[in-house]
Amino acid sequence: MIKHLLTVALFLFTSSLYAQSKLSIENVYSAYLRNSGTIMENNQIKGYFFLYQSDKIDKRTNEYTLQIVDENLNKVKDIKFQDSKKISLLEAAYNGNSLSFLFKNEENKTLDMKVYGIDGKLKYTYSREYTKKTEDLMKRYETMHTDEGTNQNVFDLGEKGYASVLPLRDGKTRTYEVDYYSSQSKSYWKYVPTDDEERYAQAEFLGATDSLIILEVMKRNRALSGKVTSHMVGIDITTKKKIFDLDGENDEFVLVPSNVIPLKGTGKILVMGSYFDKGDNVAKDASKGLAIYEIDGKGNVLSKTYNSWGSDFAKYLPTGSKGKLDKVGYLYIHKLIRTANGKIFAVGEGYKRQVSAGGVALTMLVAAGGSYGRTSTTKIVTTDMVIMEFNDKFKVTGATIYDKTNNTAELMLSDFNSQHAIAILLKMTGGFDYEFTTSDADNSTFTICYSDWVRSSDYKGLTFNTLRYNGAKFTKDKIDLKSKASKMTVLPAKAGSVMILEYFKKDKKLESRLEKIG
Amino acid sequence: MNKGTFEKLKTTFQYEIVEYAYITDNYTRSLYYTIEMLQEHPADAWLITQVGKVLNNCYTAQKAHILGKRVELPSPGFNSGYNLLLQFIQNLYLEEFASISYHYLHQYSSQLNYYAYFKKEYITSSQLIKQ
Repeated sequence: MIKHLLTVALFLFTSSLYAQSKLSIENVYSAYLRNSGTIMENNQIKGYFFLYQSDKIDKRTNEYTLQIVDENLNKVKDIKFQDSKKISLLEAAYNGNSLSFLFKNEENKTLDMKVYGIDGKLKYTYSREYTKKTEDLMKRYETMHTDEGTNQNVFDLGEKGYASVLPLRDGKTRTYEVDYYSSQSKSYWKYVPTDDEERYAQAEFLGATDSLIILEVMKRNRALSGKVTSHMVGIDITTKKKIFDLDGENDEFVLVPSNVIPLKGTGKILVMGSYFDKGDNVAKDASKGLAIYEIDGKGNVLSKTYNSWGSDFAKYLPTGSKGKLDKVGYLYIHKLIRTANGKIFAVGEGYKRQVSAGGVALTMLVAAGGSYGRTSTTKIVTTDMVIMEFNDKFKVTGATIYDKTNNTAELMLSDFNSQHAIAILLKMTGGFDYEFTTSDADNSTFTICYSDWVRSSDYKGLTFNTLRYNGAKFTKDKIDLKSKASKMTVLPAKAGSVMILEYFKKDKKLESRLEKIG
Repeated sequence: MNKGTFEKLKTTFQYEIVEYAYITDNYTRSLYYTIEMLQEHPADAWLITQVGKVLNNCYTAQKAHILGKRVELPSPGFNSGYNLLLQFIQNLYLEEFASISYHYLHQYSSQLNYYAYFKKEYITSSQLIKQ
């Protein structure tokens, strides 16, 4: 009797004690961890989605599952669908009321954008053929289709829908295409620039307001002997019309924008970027500093504030000549955060070129063999994190360097001459160590997250680092990321936590858990 | 089995449940059952110590970034009381685990000074609060 009671009691409690502390999903045949993401509302994490191959149906067909969970990792919905084994998920995004997935279908040679409601129902499918013109994009995806890559070409536009910005090539013409996919009705448009000078143009998505898609476009102006010019372009989401194209031709300095923040309720947009002397080659020359512009929705510049490396930043950072910070190198701005009291924080990461010992040795070997290879003698490393603080007049009031290992970025084009192009390449290939920033609703506290590869006597491996701002000061924390998992990634979570997602290939298991930081 | 033995086993099992939850790395279950039992046995030295022990270990686990493996998260499947405790744990900062543990145990420090198990956790909490 006692034995029986004990067995029953043990059974009851072992089953009730099965922890909800982590979510474990079984039968995951294949998963790219970047096919998972966060569901956010008003800048707050509300949940997560995971898309993975859950079964093999036959030789041609796989079963896929889209799993949606809430912010505490409780399963909310799983959507199963069968499709060709020749589809691959390229991108995923969430916009407040829907989830979108961009698939490449090799059988039909199409790019299919599928928009799902939060209830898991397929709302709209947008399909377009991919052709020779989009070959560059396909190549980019092939090299990126690892967990190192990040979503690059599909962006949420608030509740209205999604935009994708794709590079196009047709013979010698290189240009770009902006596609808009509505999530509110079945509506789609495509924008391809028609200006003659945009026969050589490269576009990057900067951000969006309720009515505008804002791009940074680098154009090679043939009339000006191939000089690269920087433009900020605004396209109306509803009418598809180009509303502005700011090239700064009449300004004292030239701005190369890198970040925008729409200022809610004001109709204004804050733009930050590097600025250059007029006549400089923005692709190759060193910047003079960081500028912050205020513009309105028509593209009118309302204010311009310049912070130079030489004088303004030199008060807080060891700045050298030519726009470089001593030891840090060039600076790429990942994120702008505007706090409730009007302060602005800019999250930067350094990058610089270093001589590659391996590259030099290989070049010498090749040369000794009597031939000339295309081996790179230099490499690009990402250096320290730099957090800069600006007041409500947009002038710099502080800056701190947070040490990080000089991590080598795997770039094929490390001998490439343009610091700007290298930064874009680093961003595209996931070469930077910056991961993401989480904050509370009004940004009064926020956490900047970045990874780092540590080689110390205590620990050798990947670490996940956080810089938490509590409204007054920053505190640092570090998580060692050694794990038995085949793949691992860290995603944003509710304020004060991060989500650790691990894929165990042998066990066909996807595990996630929340971990508190700071 | 007679009634007396049965009642004795029932009481013992309650403590076993608390301990089992703890040793299987489910700190929040262990804490919840402890608090539940404390309502019936408010002067029980072992239960009082267990509260401090769980909080001390939450501190250590969070510092090592493995607390996520030791605590459950709020879920619609749990009762409201347990969810309240889980949310409370989620809202605590690192130093607050040590602080609550120390101040909770401190109020019993003179009356439970004889109990080695209590003394150990009390000393631990006083060390953690200084870190």
